[in-house]
Amino acid sequence: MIDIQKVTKRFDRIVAVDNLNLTIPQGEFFSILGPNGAGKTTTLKLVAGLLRPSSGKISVNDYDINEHAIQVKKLISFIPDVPFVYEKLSGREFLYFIGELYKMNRKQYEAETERLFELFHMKDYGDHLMESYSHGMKQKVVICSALIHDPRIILIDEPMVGLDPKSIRLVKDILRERADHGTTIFMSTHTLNLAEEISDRIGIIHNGNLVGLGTVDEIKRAAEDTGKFEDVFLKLTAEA
Amino acid sequence: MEGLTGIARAQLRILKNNITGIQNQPLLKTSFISAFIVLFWVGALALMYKGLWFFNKFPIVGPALVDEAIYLFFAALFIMLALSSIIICYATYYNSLEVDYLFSKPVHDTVIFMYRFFQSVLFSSWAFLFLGVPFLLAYGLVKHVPLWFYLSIPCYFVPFILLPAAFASITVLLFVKFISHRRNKHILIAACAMVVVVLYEYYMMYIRPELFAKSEIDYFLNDLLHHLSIFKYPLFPGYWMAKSIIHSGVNDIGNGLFYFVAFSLTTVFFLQINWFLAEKTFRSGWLSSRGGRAKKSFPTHKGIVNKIPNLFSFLPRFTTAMVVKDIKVFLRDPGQWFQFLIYFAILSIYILNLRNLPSSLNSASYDTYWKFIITFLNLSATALVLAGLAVRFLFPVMSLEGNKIWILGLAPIKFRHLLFEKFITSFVGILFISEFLMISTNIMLRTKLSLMLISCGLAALISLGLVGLSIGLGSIYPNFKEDNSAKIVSGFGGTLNFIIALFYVIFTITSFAIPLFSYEVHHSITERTFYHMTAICCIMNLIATMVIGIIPMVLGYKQLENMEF
Repeated sequence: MIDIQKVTKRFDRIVAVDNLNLTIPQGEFFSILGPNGAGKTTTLKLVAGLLRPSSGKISVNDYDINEHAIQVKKLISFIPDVPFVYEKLSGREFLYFIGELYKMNRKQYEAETERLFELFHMKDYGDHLMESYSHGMKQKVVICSALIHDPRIILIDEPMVGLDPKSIRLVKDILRERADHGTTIFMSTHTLNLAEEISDRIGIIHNGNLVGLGTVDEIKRAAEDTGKFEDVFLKLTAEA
Repeated sequence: MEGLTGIARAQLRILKNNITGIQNQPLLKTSFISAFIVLFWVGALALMYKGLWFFNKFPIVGPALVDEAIYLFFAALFIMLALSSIIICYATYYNSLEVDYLFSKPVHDTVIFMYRFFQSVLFSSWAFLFLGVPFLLAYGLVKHVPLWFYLSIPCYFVPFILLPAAFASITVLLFVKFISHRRNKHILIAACAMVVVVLYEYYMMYIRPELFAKSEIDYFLNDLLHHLSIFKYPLFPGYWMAKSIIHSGVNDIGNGLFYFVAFSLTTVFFLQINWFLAEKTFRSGWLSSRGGRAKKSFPTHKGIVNKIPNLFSFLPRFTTAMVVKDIKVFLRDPGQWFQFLIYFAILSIYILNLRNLPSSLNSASYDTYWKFIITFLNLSATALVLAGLAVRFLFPVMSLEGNKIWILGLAPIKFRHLLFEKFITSFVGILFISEFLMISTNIMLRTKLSLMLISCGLAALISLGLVGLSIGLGSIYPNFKEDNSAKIVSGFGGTLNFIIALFYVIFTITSFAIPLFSYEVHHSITERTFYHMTAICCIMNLIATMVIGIIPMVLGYKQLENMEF
């Protein structure tokens, strides 16, 4: 479970996230939508512990992320929008490295690497340096690295960028299946269809404020607009 | 040159923004660093002046020795500039996303090339400006040169920076076009190395004896001059620059101008070749560097590096994982290990040359004074090399985690473990190098065992301080946006690291040299005083090493813990 209470994040004078309150229960697939610069990535990074809130409190599975950073990090995985990886390592070496960081059993991470590479059709490229990979291949490796230690919470920032249609389908299926088995998924995306299709609940963030929250129908009702979700989104995020 | 104006304007804007960024820093910080840099510069000038003055006061041969220092200085700088330019040119031309971006724009190849060439000239030459100016000023002061000599110093720099860069650029263009992507590249590289060896042997057998025979001073310091004669080969460009400066220093404007023009025209000639080659090969070389590269396989069960976790299973798993990762990344980055190799090639030459220096250091012809002078000069040289190694290779260690730092930020580890891992692995490496250097050079110098032990102890102490300083400052001033370690070092933190390391080394060696010289050489203090002074020195140095090593590490740890990604 992710619990965000009265969280504000300022970068100098700019307020990226403004007094955000949000609770995502265990096993929920939650998507956050919003225009560019709305505060989606900042919110994800705050939950991942990569940014520190200016005020407010975030807890993950009842652990405060500042007080119990190590316990929280063991529980979560973060998939960033840009897959920065060690270019001079092979994909397989990278996953082994992640396995070591999470103190996984060696046989376990080796087996899990093979299973994930098989799943993502990366087996033939596993021993090549990642500098030779395409953007999509690097993204697949990062997704594999996020899944390898079986996290209880997965934070994903624009997961489908650079992936081919087959891989997009695969990632959607994997994430949905994980959510069904109790993993909490917190995804940021610009793709409205994707959010509509696989999310249990959606949050719409605009200028750091949550302007919509609930299922697609609940958001439509709250916005008093029964039209297309795209229109509702544009209405809620329209500049005054 | 369509497009060059746009690129130049963008670069000027970046420069302006960077200056604004510095202006936005706290005034105390910028004032402190500026004062430190000025202090370093003045200190370097004073040291160089003292050194040249020391040579100059030798009866009869003094002035000639100072001139030899000029030959040596320009020869060494020319070679260093050429070597560093090769690495920087390669990275700047073919290993840059900016070049990829520019090639996608309607900008002519030669414009991109020209921009990147001048950029690499700037990257490779800033240190030369930092050291070259005080050296020439010191030379001028010792030689009492006319005023116009000082005013003409900037004119010497321009061609002297451009020529080695042009050489390096030509080498890189030819290498990438004709060698780097061929299947038989190893044979071609070996053939090039063979040619270099043959040319060196030819020089040693035929040219050097002839040069030596022409030496004007054949009755004193023969050995030394004999070894320095390599830098007085008339076809070596560094020689022309040195000649021009020596002639200008004695107001011989004609000869001074002749050698300067010879150097400048050669520079223009090689720049022309550089442009010509760039026009023909830059784009095609860049294209071949992007494609056709066979994807090499790196199996995870092969190689000694993959055995490290098993061999060191008693260490924490995070430590071994990071060590394995760091070693692999280092070995697979030719830019890194090539520079490391250059360092070791220079060190090897230094160690091997020590054989020739004091063939009878222990004999009566060399008194205690010289034994101590040579031992401490050797210790100083080694410590300075260690300082250079630490700044060049350890300061960027944290920054090289780069945009991947989020991986470590997200992992269930504490940054103090990361910092400790970097410190320990770096210290083991530097300690090994420093002790190897001290033992080998002392064996070559045939110094007393007691002096060797003191040198080894001091080298270990200095290594500890330097590693803490470099890793700590590298964590306080990380640059995660840059993946070129040469650029990381040339920033604010790297410069500060270099200055502090230099002062630390000078302080440590001087503090031990004073009691040793006072007691053993000048006999100006009693044995009791000597032991007291040595004990105080030991305590002072331990405190200095703690301060230098631990404070930056603590501050670096706090910086990392509070870092946002």
